[in-house]
Amino acid sequence: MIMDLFGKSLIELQELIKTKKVSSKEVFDYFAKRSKKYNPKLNAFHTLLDKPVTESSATGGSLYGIPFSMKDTYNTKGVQTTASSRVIDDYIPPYNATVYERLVKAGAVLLGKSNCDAWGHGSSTENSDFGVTKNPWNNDYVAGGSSGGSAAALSAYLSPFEIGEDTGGSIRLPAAFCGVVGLKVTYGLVSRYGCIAYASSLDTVGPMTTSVHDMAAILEIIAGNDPYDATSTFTKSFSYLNTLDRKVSGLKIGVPKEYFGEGIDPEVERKTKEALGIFEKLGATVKEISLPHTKYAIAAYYLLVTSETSSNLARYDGIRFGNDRNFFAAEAKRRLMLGGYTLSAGYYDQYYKKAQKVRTIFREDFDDAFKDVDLIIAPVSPTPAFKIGEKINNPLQMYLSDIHTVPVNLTGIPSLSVPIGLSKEGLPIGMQIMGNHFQEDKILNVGYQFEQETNFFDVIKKGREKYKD
Amino acid sequence: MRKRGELTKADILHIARLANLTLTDKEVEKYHGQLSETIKYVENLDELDTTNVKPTSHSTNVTNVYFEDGTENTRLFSQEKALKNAKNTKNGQFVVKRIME
Repeated sequence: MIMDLFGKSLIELQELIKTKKVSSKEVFDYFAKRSKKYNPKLNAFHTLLDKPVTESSATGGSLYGIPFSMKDTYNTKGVQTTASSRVIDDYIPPYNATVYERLVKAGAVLLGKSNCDAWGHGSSTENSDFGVTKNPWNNDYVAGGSSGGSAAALSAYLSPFEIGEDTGGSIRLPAAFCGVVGLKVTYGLVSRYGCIAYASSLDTVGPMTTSVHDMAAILEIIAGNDPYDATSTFTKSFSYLNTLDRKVSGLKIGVPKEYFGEGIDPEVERKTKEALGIFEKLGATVKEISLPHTKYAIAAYYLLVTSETSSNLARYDGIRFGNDRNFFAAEAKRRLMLGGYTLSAGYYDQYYKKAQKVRTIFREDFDDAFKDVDLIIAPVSPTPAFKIGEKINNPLQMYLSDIHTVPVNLTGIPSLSVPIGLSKEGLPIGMQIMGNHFQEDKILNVGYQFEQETNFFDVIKKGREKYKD
Repeated sequence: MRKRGELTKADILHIARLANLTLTDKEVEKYHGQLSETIKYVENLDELDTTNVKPTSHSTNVTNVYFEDGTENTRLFSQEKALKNAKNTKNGQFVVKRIME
């Protein structure tokens, strides 16, 4: 009889497999069975595999036998990849994304492909052409987006880790809404080769996990130079696990006052302040800072992403693969048209170029802040998860859900989203720890110390309870 | 040039054509309202004077990388593999719509 694997962390699973207490097949079957059982309720996955599609021969690999799922925007050879759009609902990739290739080389085994907003366009997965992902905490609420399927799967312990994608908050927002850990990496840290492009000047690939240790372990495997991605860092490899234990005393934390303005839920504000109190207790200093242009972030972001996505999605013509352009759904159509408009003759300078200049201003804002503080901490979202259907008919309101996440993408810096408690309605609340470019080691260290001190107020543990059987 | 931010229905049809999208009358109506609202919103950037600001093409100052011709052949697809996802092929080639009369 196989032991109960419920709630085992990545490190525990690694150990159990290594000492042959369980086989890699038993672990795969365990998660495959759970995922099949709960997917009809949550709609977290598009594709669930019955058996591994790759030979896990890398017995020495650090992830040997560990299953995982990816947002359905990554090319996985022989496994359907849809980007949650009917435009490519029958596409079978003939090649692998670099991030997938690296995980497979380390011994990890693909379990499935996770639901998201089509092409990454959205904050709730309501723009998926294959149905919304339900928030595991309360099925009337969204899981967040665009990597919502990944966050829901982690929260219900259907997959030990996930790979998401963050262009404007698509990892951090669902991580916060579902009460798990998500990392938006520095632009260029992880190869995007083989990831279906949304907005190329902002797209980043990042892990989603249920602990900071797991995050560091996965990131070590996927970070580093890839000659196939022209924006990839030149540094070959990075280490994160060996710096998790550093103390945070003496650290200077900045808290941007603009993130606590109009529209912030009082509970989000209170929980964030409580979390900051933990850091003070650990010997860090917390001071208010200003990021004065925060209110312009959404406008600059939407001009950049619609322009770039109209260009990136021009390739979907139904000739070489997929279906014709009549298969695009409403949100993609809106963004393609808006982007066509803002890039068209006579408007380029006024819209796209202007937004590129505003991006420079955002970089300067954060550069100035990092002269004064080591890290910046703020809420991931002004509110906990919203109800399914609440914003879907008002695109602008939906865009504004990302108000606290997009400045990080505009500046290219890394940001770690971690749970800090529950709202009165019992929905998770998240905060983000932001560092300067390529300071993932620092933010993971600080996140880890926070986790050691608080266990994220048991949010991750509570999230799974309903899905125990 | 027209004043910015005032999208007409003709504009909607024009930009739909630029994006190679076909819209129904109902869609034209819907997107006209929604896109006008978004365009109006993004014009809050007008408040910022960016005359002397340099634009960034992305955020981390990376420079481009190149391969020497012929040094990177591991990713080549066979003709068969390249055609595998296409719905309409003939004699080992993609079939496309006629673009010239």
